[in-house]
Amino acid sequence: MKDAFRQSMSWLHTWTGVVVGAVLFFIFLTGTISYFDAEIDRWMQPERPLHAARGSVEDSLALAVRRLEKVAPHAGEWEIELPAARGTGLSIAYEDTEEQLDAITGEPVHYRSTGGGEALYRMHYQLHYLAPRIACWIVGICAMFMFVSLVTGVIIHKRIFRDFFTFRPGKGQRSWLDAHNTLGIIALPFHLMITYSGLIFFAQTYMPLVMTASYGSGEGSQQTFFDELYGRQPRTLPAGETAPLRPFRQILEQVALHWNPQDARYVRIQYPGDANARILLGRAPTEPSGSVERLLFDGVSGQLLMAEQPTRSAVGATRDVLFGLHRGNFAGPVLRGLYFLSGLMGTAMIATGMVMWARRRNADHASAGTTSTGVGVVERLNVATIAGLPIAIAAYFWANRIIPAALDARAQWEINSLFIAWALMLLHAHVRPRSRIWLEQLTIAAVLYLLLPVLNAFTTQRHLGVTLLEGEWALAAIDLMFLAVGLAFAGTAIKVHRTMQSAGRAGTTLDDSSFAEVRTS
Amino acid sequence: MTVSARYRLAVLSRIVAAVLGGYVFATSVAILLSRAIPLPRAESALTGQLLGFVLYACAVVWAFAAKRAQWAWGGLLIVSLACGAVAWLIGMPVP
Amino acid sequence: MSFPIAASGGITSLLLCFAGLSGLCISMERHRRQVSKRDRSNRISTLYRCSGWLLLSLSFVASVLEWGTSVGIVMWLGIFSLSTAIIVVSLPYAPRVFAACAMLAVPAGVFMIAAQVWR
Repeated sequence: MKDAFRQSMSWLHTWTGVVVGAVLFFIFLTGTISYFDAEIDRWMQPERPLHAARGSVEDSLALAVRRLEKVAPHAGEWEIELPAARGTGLSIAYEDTEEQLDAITGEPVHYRSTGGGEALYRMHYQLHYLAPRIACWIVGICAMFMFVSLVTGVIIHKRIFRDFFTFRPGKGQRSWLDAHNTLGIIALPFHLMITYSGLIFFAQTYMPLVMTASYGSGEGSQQTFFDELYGRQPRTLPAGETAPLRPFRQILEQVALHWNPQDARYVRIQYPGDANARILLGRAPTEPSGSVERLLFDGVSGQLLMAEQPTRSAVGATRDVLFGLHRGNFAGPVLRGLYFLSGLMGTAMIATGMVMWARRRNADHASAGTTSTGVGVVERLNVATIAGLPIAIAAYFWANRIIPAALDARAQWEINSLFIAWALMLLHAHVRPRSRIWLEQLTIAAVLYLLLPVLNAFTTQRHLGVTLLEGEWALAAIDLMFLAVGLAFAGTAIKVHRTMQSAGRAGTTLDDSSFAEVRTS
Repeated sequence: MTVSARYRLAVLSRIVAAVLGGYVFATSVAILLSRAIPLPRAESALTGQLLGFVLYACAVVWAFAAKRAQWAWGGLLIVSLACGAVAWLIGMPVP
Repeated sequence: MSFPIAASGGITSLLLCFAGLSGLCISMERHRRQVSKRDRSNRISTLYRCSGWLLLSLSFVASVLEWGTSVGIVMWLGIFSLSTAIIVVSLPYAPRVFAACAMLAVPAGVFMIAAQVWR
């Protein structure tokens, strides 16, 4: 009886993984990389000053407002992003335009336009080329599959504690299973948190009936729900009379009563120049639940109207904590590194699962003497994803250095390069003989990543020779990461090559004994 | 019907039970929770939403663990109808 | 640089976590065999397991003391994952190195606790 349960859970685990494995790999890889989106933004705009300059918050605000008054005096809303420790610069936004400003002079700068790390972040839940609504559903379905896969994976893992530290390399399918299990168990809290919080982000979209059962489906019912949850003030409308904006010094003095004004990260000014102007200041969160730490001021009188979420229900706090944990905005550099490591483990867990499935199916067919086109297709897709997507991401960075800086549409073309490269790898995986595709794509990946820092040195003044000497560790770390990834791919390619050679000599391509052992366990 | 075809139909039936029946189950139980929990309506609605995906996962596991395919459907539908009925009796919460 | 001083609680937590997990690992017979040829009695196993849990708890406390409750818990989970990953990779490839590091981690962790208590 228990056996049937385990078998059905094993079936469920396998199929939820196989069906959406490639998409999950994409989501996890781009999501993991985007924990360093701000650093990648810096790397992808080598025209930025090497040492990110930061004036005082008051000076930055003065520069930003001066520029906004010049270019958008009648806009309904101004947004300002202030320079932060991670090296983001000063930027403004109004209507549908964004401008990066020099942090010292306040003049618009002309760095090459790029999607940067932020494009990778957006891609991990909006995919690309698809309408956001459609992507939202695809990602949500995949996230649900992932959640079921995680839960069933824990159910079928027989000896979680005894096998906690077990990894036996060099034993074929057994090693792959050990790796898959370990990668899952080591960071299980992270995997569960990331997947579940990912679902919660769009819970309103995926399960709208729960809210409408309490609030009805009329217009504004969703707004009422959120207002009741977070105690928001009702929206204001412009008064129609002009009034000058209060100088920021007095507002910052009031901010100091709540938090250090130099921590301010973004400012939103609603109806600037109007009598009903509102100024919202926010800072980066310092802990998971503080995903929103904002102060709202009357823009004309400078009076504090609201400190957002001073009292929050336990349930509301739970939601905020989940969001904060997923995004990791509160994380300092070390914790961010740990997030990155855990994300990589999750990505590798998915990859090992995909590879294991193809290997097992190949073994089944080999021992039965049959062939299957379906398994062949999946195996080629595996290669195109596990090796091909990293190649595509390398292409994204290559494009950033190669596409001329002055080109207007270059940001779009950088992203296109990513998907074109991926499509080429998909083509390669289908055209080349099945026995060679792993070796060839791993080699391509190794070459592309190892040469990236070299390309960097030839095309910019922000290569390792400069960044290491000048102590710009964030930029240097990115180039070093490229080298490390390149070496990892090179090492794997060499291993695959050796395995192919020794298998060729022995006259076999699979280690049948290791399959038998795994199947009966 | 051959054995293989019957097996495939059973699997398909469980898949549909899991995907559709699971969604109905999760929504119904979540709605019941949102109406029954004695918290302000925004908080109880959010609680239902937060738990919705756990409920969905439970339903999926049930749909495949149930001894017979009919039980996969039956169990989910019965509980969904019961929860829906109780939620309807409780009625919509007042602001 | 202020980094080492500011992160001393973190380094303590990492050392203690690594030491604790190593203890739990060695308490299992299959891993003891990986590390040393001599087979030991079950009493040693219990000793390793108890001290392992103790060190692990201390590392949790160190993390929460350094970063506060919410960030401390998140940080500790990350430290836990990192420590486990190091152990899992070094066991099959460099078991002696792992054993040496584990044995060093215990006094190092205790030293870090003492250094902070007396500061």
